[in-house]
Amino acid sequence: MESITNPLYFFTGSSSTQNHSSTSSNVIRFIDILDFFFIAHPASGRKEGEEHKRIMYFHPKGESVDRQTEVTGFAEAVVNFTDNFLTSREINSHDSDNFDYRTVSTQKTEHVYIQIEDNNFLMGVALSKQLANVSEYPLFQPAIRSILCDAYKMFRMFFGTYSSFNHQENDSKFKDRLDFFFSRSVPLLKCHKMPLLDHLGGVEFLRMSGPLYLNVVSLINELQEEFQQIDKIMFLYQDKLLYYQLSRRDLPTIFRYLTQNLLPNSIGPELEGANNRAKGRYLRGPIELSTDEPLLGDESLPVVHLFDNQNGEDEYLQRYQMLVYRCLNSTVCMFVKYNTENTNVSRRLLRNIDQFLESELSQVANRIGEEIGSEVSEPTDFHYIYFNPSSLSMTSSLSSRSSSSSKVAIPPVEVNRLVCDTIGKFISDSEEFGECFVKSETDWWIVVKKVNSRLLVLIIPPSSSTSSLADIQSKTSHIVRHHFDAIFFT
Amino acid sequence: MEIEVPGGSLNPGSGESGVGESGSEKSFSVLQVDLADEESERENEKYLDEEKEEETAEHLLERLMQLPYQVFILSESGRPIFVNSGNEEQLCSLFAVIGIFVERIRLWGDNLITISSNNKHIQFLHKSPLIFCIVSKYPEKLDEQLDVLFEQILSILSKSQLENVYKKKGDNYDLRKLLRGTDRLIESSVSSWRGSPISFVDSSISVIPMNPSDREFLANTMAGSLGAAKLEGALFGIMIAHRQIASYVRFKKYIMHPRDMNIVINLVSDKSLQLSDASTWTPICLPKFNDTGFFYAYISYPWQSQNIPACLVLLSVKRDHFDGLNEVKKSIVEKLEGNSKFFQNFSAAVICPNLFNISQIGNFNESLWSFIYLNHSSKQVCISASK
Repeated sequence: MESITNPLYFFTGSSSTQNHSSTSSNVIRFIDILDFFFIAHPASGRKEGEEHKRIMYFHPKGESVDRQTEVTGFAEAVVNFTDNFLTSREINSHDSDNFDYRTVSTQKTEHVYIQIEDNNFLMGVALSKQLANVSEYPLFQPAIRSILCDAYKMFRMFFGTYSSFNHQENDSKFKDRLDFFFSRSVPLLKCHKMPLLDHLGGVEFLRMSGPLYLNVVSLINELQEEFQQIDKIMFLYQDKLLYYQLSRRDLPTIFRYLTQNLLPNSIGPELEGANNRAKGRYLRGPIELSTDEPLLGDESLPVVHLFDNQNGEDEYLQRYQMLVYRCLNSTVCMFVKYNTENTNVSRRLLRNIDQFLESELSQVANRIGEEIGSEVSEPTDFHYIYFNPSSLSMTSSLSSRSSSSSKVAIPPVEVNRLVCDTIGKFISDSEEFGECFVKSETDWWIVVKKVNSRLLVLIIPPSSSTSSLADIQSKTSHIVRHHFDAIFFT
Repeated sequence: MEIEVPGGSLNPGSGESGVGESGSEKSFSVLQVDLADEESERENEKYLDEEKEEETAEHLLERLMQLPYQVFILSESGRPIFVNSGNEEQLCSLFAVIGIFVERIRLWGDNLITISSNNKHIQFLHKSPLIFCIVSKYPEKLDEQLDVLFEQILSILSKSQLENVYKKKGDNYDLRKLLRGTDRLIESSVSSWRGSPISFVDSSISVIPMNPSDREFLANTMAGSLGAAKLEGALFGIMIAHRQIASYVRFKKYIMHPRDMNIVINLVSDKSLQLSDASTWTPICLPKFNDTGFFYAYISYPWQSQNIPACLVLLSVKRDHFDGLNEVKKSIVEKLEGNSKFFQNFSAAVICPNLFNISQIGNFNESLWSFIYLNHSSKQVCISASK
């Protein structure tokens, strides 16, 4: 990327995001339990006396260089030490975005380090056990790891890989970018009090009828037929996903950016202009579409790095211009391949797409709105997490933007911790089936069912009707029959 | 004297005999054992040199990785003491790194507990003046395994000896000089722990299945003979087979912690002690009982020549009890062999031990597959065969 033209397109209006989430006690701020966070390039610190040069980014910034050097050096030593005990196959087994990782647990902290980009870079985070206790956050290593990986992927989506900076020659530019991005994004990071949600990292899909779904698909097909420059499309209604053509590696990241940053910040203007709601608009890029001026400066479109595999089996990163069009709670996200030679997306294209979508999209959006509005889901008397790894579909009563409410208060921290322990110790990642019933000391029941890799976790509060295992088994089958029948086999 | 009947039906109070009083003296001073000073250190070094094979560190590490787990014991200064493949010297850089990790975190005012990666789990334990480290594929209960290791070392060198050695000889002292010949015990304490049901629950002992009336007779006989000998300071008697307890008798006020029991079991399960018609008299520290002093263990395999793998252990705090305990053993053996019906059953139970049977807890549940039973007060664990 040559320059950052509109540098704040990813975390604009951070304050409103914060307000949005602070009202919900389902999440805590990552920074409130953070001890340190770093990015290191070990090869840069190989020379004696120049060890500090491996530090590319360090939080907190006030930390002394000595301490930063110690922390990053320790992490590097941990990686090397552990390599002694791994066979070469184990060392090289990281495929796609399953980064090689190390965890360190001390009396006071939990550390996670990940190795990225052919192990050239090391990212690390340490969370304080004491602060986590104060925040009533159960530390769960896999969730911390997911949060760290997601932070990296978000950077990669906006700026490309670390390696692409060719930092040997251009150290300061790389460091500037890291500083620019992470100094803004880390303070905004949220952790779910139920860490499993961060660990699974799915996206919430909108459940809808078949005919309506066909409507959406045909709209997207027509759009792509009409404008063949559009390479990938994603369709959201409110903050739920309906349709996507992205790589699964990118989906959670871009979904998170849209639902947690971009969309919340766009709702304000929408509510104000209530009389003009049926009119669609672009959320980024130029406001004035009637001219043919080139798109420069603040008007240029955001560029994102997404995985593509059109030319073969291996996915590779490709730059795309991102167009986000919104109308009546519906959001169409379009990606057009970006290259420096061509003129890329012009005002004219934007204008034409606008004309196309204006009528089509509002019709579809209206229909979705009608169908959603007619469905009133009753609040449940239990909490749940459902996750399907093959579609990345996740829904939970404990998520921060859950529309599906539960009558039950948020489970206490011990119960959340027990859920994580149960998943970690009794439900194998590699097994496709599993079932586990656990009763907490405070008489909450935790039911975990894994069928065909799909995971259902039920968290059932203490009650007189659920005292025995037989009670809870019949309650479970009742819940599955009434709430998860369509998506879950009994 | 009180009798504990593992897994049996006996009322614990009923086994008391008159001699119980003799054991109720306020306390038995546990003796300190002086370690023979290593005068011929040079000879030892020569011996160690010969032991070394021409093997590179990488080669050795590769061989080490074939093992299901790796154990490292080192001094606080990073000096190698034990690794379960032997050949510590070749891996000294690895030992040094372990020492540095522990020290680094300590300097940050913290304590290193674990490091892990995708499928390796590394647990650390710092018990001054030693550092323990275990590398394992499975994360379960590694902390307890290191505690077991630490106590195993203490059983050879008591805590006070351990501290004194480094005080007298300096931080760089090579502790292997004092632990020579005990590698097998250190190794087996962890390997047996990992492979047995005692690891299911914290610090338990496992019990060999026997007919309850036979067990009662065995316990009564042991208690009777030990009591009749009136040896002040002879506190415990244990019958062991296949690393399991057949019977355990003790003087009233004294209780043997299950972890100490497992140290004794580990000691007698070592092949080098299993001599027929011979008895062994060895000092042993039982750290949960008292980590600064030593017991003396009278160990014999009375029926080794008949291939009955039972081992009788009598423990005393007195150094000069060997002859007395030898008489106790003779008396016990005589009485047990005298009851031919018992002895036949006992031999069968010990030679080819059965697992507990599902039917022993009733036939009411058709779908019951297997059970594990733990007695919380005695810490005895029974595991059944599967259906």
